[in-house]
Amino acid sequence: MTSVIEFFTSLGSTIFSSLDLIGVYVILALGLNLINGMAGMFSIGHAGFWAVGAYTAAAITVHDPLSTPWPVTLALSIIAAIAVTGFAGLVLALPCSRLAGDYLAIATLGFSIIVVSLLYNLDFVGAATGLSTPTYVSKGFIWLMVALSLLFYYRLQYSNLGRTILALREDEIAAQSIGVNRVRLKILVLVLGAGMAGLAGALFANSATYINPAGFEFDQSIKILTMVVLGGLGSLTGVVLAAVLLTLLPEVLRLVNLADYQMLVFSVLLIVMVLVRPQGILGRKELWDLPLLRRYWRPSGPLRVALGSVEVKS
Amino acid sequence: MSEFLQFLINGLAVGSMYALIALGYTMVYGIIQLINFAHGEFMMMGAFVGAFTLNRLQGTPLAVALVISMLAAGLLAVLVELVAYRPLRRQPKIFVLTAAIAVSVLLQNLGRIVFGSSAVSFPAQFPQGSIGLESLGVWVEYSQLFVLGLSLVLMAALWLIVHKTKIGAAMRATSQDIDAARLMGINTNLVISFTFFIGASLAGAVGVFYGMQYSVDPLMGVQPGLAAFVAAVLGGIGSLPGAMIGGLLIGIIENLVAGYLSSTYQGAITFVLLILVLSIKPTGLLGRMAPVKV
Amino acid sequence: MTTTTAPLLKTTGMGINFGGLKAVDEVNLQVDPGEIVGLIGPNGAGKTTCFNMITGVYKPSRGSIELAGARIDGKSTPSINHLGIARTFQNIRLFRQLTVLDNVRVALHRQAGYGLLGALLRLSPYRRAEVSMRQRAEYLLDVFGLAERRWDRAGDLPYGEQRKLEVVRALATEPKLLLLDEPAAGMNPQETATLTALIQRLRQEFKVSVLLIEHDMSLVMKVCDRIYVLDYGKEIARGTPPEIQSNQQVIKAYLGEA
Repeated sequence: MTSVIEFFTSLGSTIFSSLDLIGVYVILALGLNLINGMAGMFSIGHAGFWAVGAYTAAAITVHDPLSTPWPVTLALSIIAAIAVTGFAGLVLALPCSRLAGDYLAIATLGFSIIVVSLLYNLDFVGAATGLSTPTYVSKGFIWLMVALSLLFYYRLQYSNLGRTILALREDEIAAQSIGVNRVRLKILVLVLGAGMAGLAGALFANSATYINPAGFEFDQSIKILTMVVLGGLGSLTGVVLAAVLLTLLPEVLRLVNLADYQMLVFSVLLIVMVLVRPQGILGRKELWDLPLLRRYWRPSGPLRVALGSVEVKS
Repeated sequence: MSEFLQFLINGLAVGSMYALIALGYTMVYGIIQLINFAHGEFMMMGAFVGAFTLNRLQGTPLAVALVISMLAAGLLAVLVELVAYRPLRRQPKIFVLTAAIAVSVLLQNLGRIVFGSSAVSFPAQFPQGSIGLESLGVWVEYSQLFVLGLSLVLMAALWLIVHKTKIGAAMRATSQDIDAARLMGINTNLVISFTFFIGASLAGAVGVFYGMQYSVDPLMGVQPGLAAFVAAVLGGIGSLPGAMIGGLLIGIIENLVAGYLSSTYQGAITFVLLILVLSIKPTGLLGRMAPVKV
Repeated sequence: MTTTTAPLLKTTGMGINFGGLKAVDEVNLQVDPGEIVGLIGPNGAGKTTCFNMITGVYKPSRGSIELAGARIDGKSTPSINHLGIARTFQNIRLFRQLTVLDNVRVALHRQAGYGLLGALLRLSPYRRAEVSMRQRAEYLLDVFGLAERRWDRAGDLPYGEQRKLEVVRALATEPKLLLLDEPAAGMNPQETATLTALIQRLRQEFKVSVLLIEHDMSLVMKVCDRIYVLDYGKEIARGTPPEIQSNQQVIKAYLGEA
């Protein structure tokens, strides 16, 4: 009995101390959901973008090249992280946007592996040791950014632009036939999704005491991908829920001494989800579709966006 | 000049292994348009099975261990396709790609749990030594000769299967048009399984070659897998000769870069090459774009 | 030339090869403003391939395509749509997971007039555009009798309504020329009759010309001003509906097919 109580108290304190990390992962998952869920593209190297953002921000806060007061440095580091990461997304998107989705997958996979291997070898960002970073941001600030990211995602999805992105996901040929510019839109999506990872990177670098290349290995990309798939590709609230749960999962596994099996759990979860419930935990719904919440609020018109699986394409 | 030739020879030896792995990518892609992210892990599994066989069954001839490795990698691929890919064939592409990447991570982690995460040395090595070509000032190691020779044998065997057997004809028909092939009475499911089997068994053989030259660890398939994929794209995905040429080219380029610049950037160069190929000629050297069906 | 204005659509010697085979060869089509023109022929005659070339899905190997006197061959599908050509698809290609309303709203995307920032801040240009797009979409849905279905998933509609929704979606881009690829396929006689009336209404009310692929001959003969007949990728006849009905070569092409 005492051990159960101990488990839950330590779980509680774990959740509290993980709040900043949860916020970072929610933003990461939203960015990947924009690319993989809303646009139906396939990026699997999200941790690569995250690393670019974190290291860009850290390079600025650590080296402080303009010697500005810290709030200005912080703001600069966030803006630079988003810009540089967005640019990385652009560079990857340019050759891939005309091609079938699989090429983007391999390009982002390669990108994330190369970024990490370069970070291991770049001395001015500390190589394998990494960088000790100042902790400028609080949990409150991170969750303010989470709220802004959610608003950003929601408003994008329920706009003209969001509809064309969804249309492109549903049928590229039909979307082009009504004048949707496929290449431009795919580039935009990747820049925005990568930019969100850049924001997550800046928040991470400014809240953790140090960052190192090992923290951005390919495993992290898989973790973020699992969040998006578990939440339901394209489902906004489902992905947020999944991001919260899956950020805590490794902590829970650590409490029960199964930390070594983390990636095994993630990969099995991924396979089981795509085979058994590809539409995600909430199905083709959002949290606001649940009867309990529906009474209080829902968007002006229902728009089903989770990439469901019931359809059999002929 | 002799330095350049030496890099060329080293590149050919590594490149022939890339070519064998690339063949598997390209065959699977040619038939079901799927990048099988787990392909590099079939190589890793082949290496472990080979090491395990030689360790546990003392006195097993290397050739027998090689065949066992190839069979094991091939059967594993058939199983993976059956369980994780086949049910998703008619779903949006993103799901089967997700399954493929997940299988890749799963196999790496199974490898880590079963075999341990540290690198182990392979119980057999190629004969040590090398042949010096004095006039050119280059050295060819025995191991390189073996790898090149065996790769050529395997490629020839693949060519015979694809072009001279009934199942090979069925493979070619299926890759042309899977629906038409089914209507013609070809058991396309069997053909797909067979393609996975052949592709993965080639990767399994490479695993043994790799292990004999370097060592065996659960993540050993990642880098060659990525390089081989770039090779397949460079050659024109879906094209068998393309995969061979692409593999050799990537091997040579990597060795030239490592030799003249720095081995740190070897992987980065592979990736830059991929981006360049995709930007300039996405169909690769020998590939062609299929018309979209509307 | 009987008219003084430039033809709306004119293809000259249009052709395409697939793997060395001439799939379509030497096709000369013309659609004048306000015309409804039929494109018929046995299965595999290359009718849909012609549509794919006109809309830029395929790049023709030979010949030219002009819209109101300006070359459009070689342009991309979206820019050809911007210039005034919209189409439907033989195998229905709706945005199946989106609502009926959103299928139409997407097609109105160029009327929005606000960008990413506008969408994020939701200032008055956003609200005005959203209201007018909603109204336009509702109006079009109403004309085609789909207004009741606005919140349904497009993929859940019955077959005939899916075909109609494709026409609405194409029409929403305000084309000068509408390419309809077998709009009556899978419809019952009653639905076909409604569709016939709607196609005629397209010309009167929406001022669009129509190029129509169709196997339902009663529909073709009723609505088309002129008809082209393709067989094995080549034009074998052209003329008014009565001329086509009595053309021996056309009868042979169709009987030969069965």
